Amino acid sequence: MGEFIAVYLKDEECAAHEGCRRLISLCPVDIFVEGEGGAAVDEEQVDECTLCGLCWEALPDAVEVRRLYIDEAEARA
Amino acid sequence: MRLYEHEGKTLLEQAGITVPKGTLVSSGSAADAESAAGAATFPAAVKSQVLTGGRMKAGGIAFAEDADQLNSELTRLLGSEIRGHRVETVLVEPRTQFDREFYLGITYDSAAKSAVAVFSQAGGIDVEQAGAAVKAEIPLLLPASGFRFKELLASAGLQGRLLSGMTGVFTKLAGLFRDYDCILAEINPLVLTPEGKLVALDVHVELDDDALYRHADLVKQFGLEGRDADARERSPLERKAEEIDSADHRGVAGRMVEFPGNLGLLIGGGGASLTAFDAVQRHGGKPANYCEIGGNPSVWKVKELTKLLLSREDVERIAVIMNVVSNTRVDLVARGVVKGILELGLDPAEKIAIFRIPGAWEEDGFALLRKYGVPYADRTVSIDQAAKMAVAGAGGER
Repeated sequence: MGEFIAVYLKDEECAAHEGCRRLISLCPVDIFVEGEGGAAVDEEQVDECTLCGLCWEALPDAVEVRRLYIDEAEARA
Repeated sequence: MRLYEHEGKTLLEQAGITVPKGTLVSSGSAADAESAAGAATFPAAVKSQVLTGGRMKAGGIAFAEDADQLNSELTRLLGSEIRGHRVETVLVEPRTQFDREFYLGITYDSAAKSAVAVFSQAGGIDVEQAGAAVKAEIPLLLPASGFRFKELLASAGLQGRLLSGMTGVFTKLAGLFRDYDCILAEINPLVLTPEGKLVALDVHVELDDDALYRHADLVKQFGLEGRDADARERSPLERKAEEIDSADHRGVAGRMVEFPGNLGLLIGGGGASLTAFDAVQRHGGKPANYCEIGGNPSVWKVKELTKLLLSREDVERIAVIMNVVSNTRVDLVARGVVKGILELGLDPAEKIAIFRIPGAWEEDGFALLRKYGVPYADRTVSIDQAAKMAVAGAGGER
């Protein structure tokens, strides 16, 4: 988890999408890296997230991005 | 990037403009000095090579009647300081006798959005005060055409052979200006010798830093790589800022110049950095630095620059001020500044005097700043007001 942004990958849904590997090339700021059995989140990078939406639009069931500086009620980006 | 006189003269010579045949003497090179004394034609002009104007008045230019006097002047000048610039090299030229001196210059007029040619029959020292200059816009998309210069020079009263000769020099100077992406090329004075020759005795050439990549030959020829634009030695902090900027291609967070104040500045936005810097000073603040951020720098880049600024023990707080941004994201800059301060174990609410960047993604940026209690201002607060707040420590909303 970053200071301002949190990116979550849901294992089960990822598996259904061939380990979410698409995300690695999809993310313009390299938040996703090669992990065991698929993509993993590079926690060092998550604060670079531009909230572009490419990841959660591509795999809406598998990816969740939260802005930690927004109240929880409206936190889902 | 301003060139030394001898470098400018090399360009003039390559362009076909007559310059005195000079010899360069470097600091600490006895062989150079001996060679110059042996080869010199007397009387000789002895000219310190420093990147500043007014060298004659500051004692940076002397004349020698013989070899002894030349050696004496070389000893005096080499290693000395002229207007704060250390003299590392001296140009020795035959002193040129002349009947008249002129000023020729080409630069850009940002208001006219065009290159302009300026000519005065009153060249030499204090030409700016002499007045009586004529100028004309010179389109330089295509190679320079002589007739425009002839019209300009004729309007200044030149006639006959002098008009033709001067037209040729001006056209060549314009070609140089265009070919080397100059922002200024001026000859002052261009003199008319008793033999009727036009000779450039001094030249001031400034290249566009952003176009230097197109002139690898020139960079190599004059060793411009790593030369500071104003020939001032960069401080370790300035060099580190440059490293940070070049380590990440995203956006700009650079052009750092250190000052001895206690208010760090993260500023930028279409000239707003100069405005903010001046405003801080006008309200009695003491900037610790000048810098330029823009073009949507990464969070990492802003974070590292913030940490760098606060690494100076005398920097108490920082002010983050930009114009209304469209291609830079407010939230990403806010993340970078806050993260940098947090990584230093400090409190953003205490360290940020004011954050005034309105524009793209400002809702997110301001939400983030609110979370950390950082004083911020939107576009209803001017840059000047924000600078005043930063200096007074009054802050904005939190």
